[in-house]
Amino acid sequence: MKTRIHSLKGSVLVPVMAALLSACGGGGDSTTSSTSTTSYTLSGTVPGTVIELFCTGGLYYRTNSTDNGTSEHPFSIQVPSGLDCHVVMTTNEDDTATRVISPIRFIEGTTSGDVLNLKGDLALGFVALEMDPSKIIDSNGDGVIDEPFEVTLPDDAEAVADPSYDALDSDGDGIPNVYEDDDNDGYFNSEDDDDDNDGYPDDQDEDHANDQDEDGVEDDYDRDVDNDGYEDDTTTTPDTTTPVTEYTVQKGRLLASQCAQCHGTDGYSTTSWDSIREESGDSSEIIEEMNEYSTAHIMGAQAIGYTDEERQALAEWLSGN
Amino acid sequence: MNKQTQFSRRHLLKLLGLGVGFSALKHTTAFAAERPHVVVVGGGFSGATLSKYLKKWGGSSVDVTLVEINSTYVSPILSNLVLNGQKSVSDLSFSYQTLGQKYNINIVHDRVTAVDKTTQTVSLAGGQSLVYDRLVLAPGIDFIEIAGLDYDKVPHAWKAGAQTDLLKSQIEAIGDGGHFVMTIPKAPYRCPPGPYERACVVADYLLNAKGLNVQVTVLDQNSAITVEADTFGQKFSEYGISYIPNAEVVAVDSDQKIVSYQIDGATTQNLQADVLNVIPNQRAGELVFLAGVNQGNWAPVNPLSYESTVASNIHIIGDAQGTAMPKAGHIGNSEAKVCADAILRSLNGIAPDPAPKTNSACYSPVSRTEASWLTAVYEYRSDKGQMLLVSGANYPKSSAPSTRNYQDMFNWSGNLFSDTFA
Ligand SMILES: Cc1cc2nc3c(=O)[nH]c(=O)nc-3n(C[C@H](O)[C@H](O)[C@H](O)COP(=O)(O)OP(=O)(O)OC[C@H]3O[C@@H](n4cnc5c(N)ncnc54)[C@H](O)[C@@H]3O)c2cc1C
Repeated sequence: MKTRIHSLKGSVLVPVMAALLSACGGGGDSTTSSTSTTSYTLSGTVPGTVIELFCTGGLYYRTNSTDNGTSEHPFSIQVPSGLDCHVVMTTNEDDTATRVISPIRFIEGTTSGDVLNLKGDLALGFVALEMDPSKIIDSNGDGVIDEPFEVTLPDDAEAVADPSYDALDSDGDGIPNVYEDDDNDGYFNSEDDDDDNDGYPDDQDEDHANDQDEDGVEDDYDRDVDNDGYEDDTTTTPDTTTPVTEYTVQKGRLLASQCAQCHGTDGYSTTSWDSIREESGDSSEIIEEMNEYSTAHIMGAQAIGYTDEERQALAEWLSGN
Repeated sequence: MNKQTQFSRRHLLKLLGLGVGFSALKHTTAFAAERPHVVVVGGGFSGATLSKYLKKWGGSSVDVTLVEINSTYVSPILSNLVLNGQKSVSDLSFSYQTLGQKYNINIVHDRVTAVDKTTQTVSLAGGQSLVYDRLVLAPGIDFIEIAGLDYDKVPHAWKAGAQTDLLKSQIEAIGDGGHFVMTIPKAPYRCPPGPYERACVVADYLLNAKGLNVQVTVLDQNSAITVEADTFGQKFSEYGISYIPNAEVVAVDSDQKIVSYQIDGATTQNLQADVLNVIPNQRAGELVFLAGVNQGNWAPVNPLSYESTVASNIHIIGDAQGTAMPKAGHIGNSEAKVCADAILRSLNGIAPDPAPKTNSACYSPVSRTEASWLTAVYEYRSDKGQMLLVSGANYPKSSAPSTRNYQDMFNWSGNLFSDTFA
């Protein structure tokens, strides 16, 4: 494996090891491939509106619609694939007295759901949001409608999802945590200095200490702790190169994964031991290497545990065949 | 915003201990099919790997929640090197940030206090409940009590972290003429070579690095060195370690540092130490007993899927499961992948892989510069329904400890750590 490894190190491994070192014992990133995250476009037209997306891992995206002189202002926003996102649209956003905050519920054929998980670009068409606060049902007067606003999607959009555990909407009512009003005092949580009305301001209240933006994702696991729309730490690359949307049986994958304890996830080593990912697509070299070591070497001692067919299957998976 | 109640469901869950799958508050429209929820309890080598691979292979088709008490995990692997100053506890510490952020795993830092198999709900100490479609228990080990043993005075240092630092500080305080006594638990226990490795590392440190005249005594509850007997036997005589097999620990005086033991049930003998390191006999983590999935001290499983043989939709991996495979982190990672694949198959109506393989590797430092290794591959034997050593492979080990092995130890552990936590 030696020759192959050198070429790999030059191109792929060095930046990874640098990332690992900087991560200092704790995390670190074992995925070497540069993550060209796929994004899809969510678009539509609305009355003058701010569109906010609250997504998996605490990610936050926001855009304003563009005033084009008509009553239907276009907007479009990029959403990384593989994320669950709650969508909230706010009209008259600059005036706290008249703004109308509408969390969106999506209807797709006979099903509905409060989060989108985009599998492609999605055009919503015109979303006829309410602009007049006197016309909405808002029992506590915080400007947030009591029930999500329903938007119907094309039947084949396949964009509605229902996570079984949704940190961003802990009570599953379709109103994201930031727009909940826990103590029913007329101020939703992200604008309420004391969400639970216990007399301790949120920034001193241990109930809130670990969640600055109050979105429900604790700071340690929040990729955008302050909801400024920028991911905080991009050294932890999200694993979205090829977002997996369903499980498929892959011959050789489970066996090949048993090499990762020593050779790194998917065969990309993070130490000076060999990477066994065969970028060239030629599986014969991996098999050759497995056959080569004597059992006095730990590799040889491992290799004798696998049959020829197993070596073939794992080598083919590692070389992408 | 809730009209019916002053509290958001977040608070309701806390107050009433209701589950997340709680559908009464859901709406009149038929909701999109809820994604299957796998709840994993315990974020050590096995549970962390399982969570990662469920999302890596299952992606957005499955929701994974990892419940772990601590926000930092300290690896027991390499922790004997804290005792001789080659590593620190922080070198061996891992956060769950990458698992959470990169793989979109919900990380909850809390302790599971109960498992309701009928409603498929686990309760957390903080009051919250989680409803699962599949539950995976990976709590590691707990100790079987010994009369008089107080871990704050006589550390086991067999779970890493504060215990490791405590033992280290006691070892630092030993002076010339001192006596270090350790006891080795009866098999099966976590990391078969680990205790012998510890005796060697500590002896080398005190005798050779610090140049002290110190006696090291090993009381072994087993009848002989359980693994790599040649390697450790040789090192024991080189360091002048006195080795007493068949020594069953019956009581400990934690203040006086006296261990009482019996050889083959004969009269009780006492041994006084300056530093006493009692590693008690072991059983599956308490959680396995709480869930009622134990049989004796461990949790019996079907090794094709690690599903409990006494309860459905509950899987047990790592040190807590009851197969004949060794209790070790490398193979815990290995079992986790087989289990992840089997769970994803089962959620998709597919039978588990009928011929999984698992493997184990332990690198054992025996001084500040040398290490040995031990490795094995296990195969599923359908005639026995068990994972057994690959037949005919006649498992080899390193011929002798070496400095090359010592360096390889870090190449190995670096990839094991990143395959588990990154
Ligand atoms: C000195 C030493 C050297 C070792 N060397 C090696 C080696 O070279 N190679 C090797 O393969 N192995 C080695 N090991 C063994 C290895 O460390 C263990 O086998 C491994 O850690 C077991 O992994 P696990 O996931 O089963 O359990 P653990 O790693 O113990 O993880 C269990 C986790 O579950 C959590 N937990 C428990 N109960 C609950 C609950 N009720 N709710 C929430 N969370 C809970 C705990 O906080 C813990 O984080 C060594 C061990 C020692 C002590």
